[in-house]
Amino acid sequence: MSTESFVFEGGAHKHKLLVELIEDLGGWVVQKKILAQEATITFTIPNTADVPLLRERVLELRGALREQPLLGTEIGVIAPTIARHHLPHLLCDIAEYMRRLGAKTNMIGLARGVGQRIAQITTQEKKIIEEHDAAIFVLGNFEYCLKEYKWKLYKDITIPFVVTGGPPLESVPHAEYYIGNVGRLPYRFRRLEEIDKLQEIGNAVSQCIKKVRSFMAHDPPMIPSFAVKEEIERQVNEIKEVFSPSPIVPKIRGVRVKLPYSQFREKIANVRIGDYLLKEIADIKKSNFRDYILVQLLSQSQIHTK
Amino acid sequence: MVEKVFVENIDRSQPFNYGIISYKIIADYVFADLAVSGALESVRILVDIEKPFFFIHAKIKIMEEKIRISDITTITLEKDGIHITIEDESYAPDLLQVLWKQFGRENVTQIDRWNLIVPSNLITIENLKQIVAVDPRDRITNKILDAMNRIIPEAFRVRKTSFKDDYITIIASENPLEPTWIQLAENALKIPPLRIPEEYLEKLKQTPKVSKKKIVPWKTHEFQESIK
Repeated sequence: MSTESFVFEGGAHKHKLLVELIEDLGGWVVQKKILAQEATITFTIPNTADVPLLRERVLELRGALREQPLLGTEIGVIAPTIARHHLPHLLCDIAEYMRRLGAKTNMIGLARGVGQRIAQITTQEKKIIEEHDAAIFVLGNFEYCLKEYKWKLYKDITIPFVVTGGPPLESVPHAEYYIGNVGRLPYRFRRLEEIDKLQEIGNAVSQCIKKVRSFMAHDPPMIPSFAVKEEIERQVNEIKEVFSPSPIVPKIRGVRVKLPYSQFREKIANVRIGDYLLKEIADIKKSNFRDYILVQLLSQSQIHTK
Repeated sequence: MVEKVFVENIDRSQPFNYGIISYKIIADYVFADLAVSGALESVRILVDIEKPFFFIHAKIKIMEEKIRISDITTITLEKDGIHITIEDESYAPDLLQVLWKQFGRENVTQIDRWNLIVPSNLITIENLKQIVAVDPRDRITNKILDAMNRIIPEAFRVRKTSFKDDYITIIASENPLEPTWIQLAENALKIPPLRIPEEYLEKLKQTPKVSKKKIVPWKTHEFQESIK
């Protein structure tokens, strides 16, 4: 089973036909926005074989369909610090492009990521980065730094990550993916070749995500994170009072709920999903982000041994 | 400005590597952003990334005159002291700083935005008129230092700045500075600067280029048909 994610943009008229089809195919509508006569629907369907069916319906509705390879993932875009040397141009461009591919992105500036000898990453930062599904390290322009020193930042990271830097190299130490020609630059990306570069980063990240998903398919969680999201929205009313743009962040394996851990842990743990309670099929932890709740879905073998 | 800025690698075996070219682009953008090009005659940035250090050597050229108090105010002697009426308000903060420094805060009375009183026993009108209110050199020096801070990589926090005649020199590194490095950089300054050829800069410059790639907006029917 491999999921496929899309965004539909078209007229609001008869858009319910599409929503019905998605539901019939066993998919989830992640986000639905109706603005005047325009509908934007982000959704995912569980089976690739159903895609032609979907395309037919979309053409019928005179809408447009675009693939969202990173939907339901959370990606950290990481800079050495948040000084103006590294922000905003490049980091914002990359983060925005990942958002267009469907991901939720967080921009992270390390405290002391700069320099050669003095570059370092703390355990707390590592924990925060590892809470994401994938990471992009945006580094600088000098080949010497990238080859000799900068790998200290990402050597021990356990999630898949992509490194970008200035010089056009084949690879850098300890990193599987390296994208060159994306170093410290003083301007926004506008030209076609620069947009292609962003697409290249997007492709590398989606390859990372694909690997994680295929690895997870051997022993998947009982239900996908979108279903958990839907159930929490239905059963925990307080989530409607959270003013964050996305109160529940879907990730590959679990969700992050933006409610205080101390008050809502029990409520989230007792959300009923089918015959189970959420605490039986998932680990409920305190997130490294503020005081949020992290729900990590257990795989089926883990549930049986629990 | 572009032709006044030189970025060079101290190691002349690799004069045009990616780092050097990109820092040339960054320097051009920073000097253009801060609008200090007019005040600079030449800038040489020497980079040794293995030690590592950045050495910036800039020659300033100041065209503007010093602004004296008589240029921006009218001064009259009254019974209660010397009355200063500010005519050009954009220099008011600088003027106040100068007066406070000279006479102390308690002796400078501000009546309103434009009128100040200074006791007449402290200074004569002629001497007051000659005091320099704004030195354009200070203003431009601060701007140039700001530009240099933006160019030098953030990690290079160990810095030594020196002002000599018309030159500003900064050497920056992340390790303790060694006298041999300064000697090395000063020797490199004696060699005429090396200009980066245009074809290297072309790759990174954001100039419009002709592309034969056909772009189909994704919302169109054509796009949908193409990915069917």
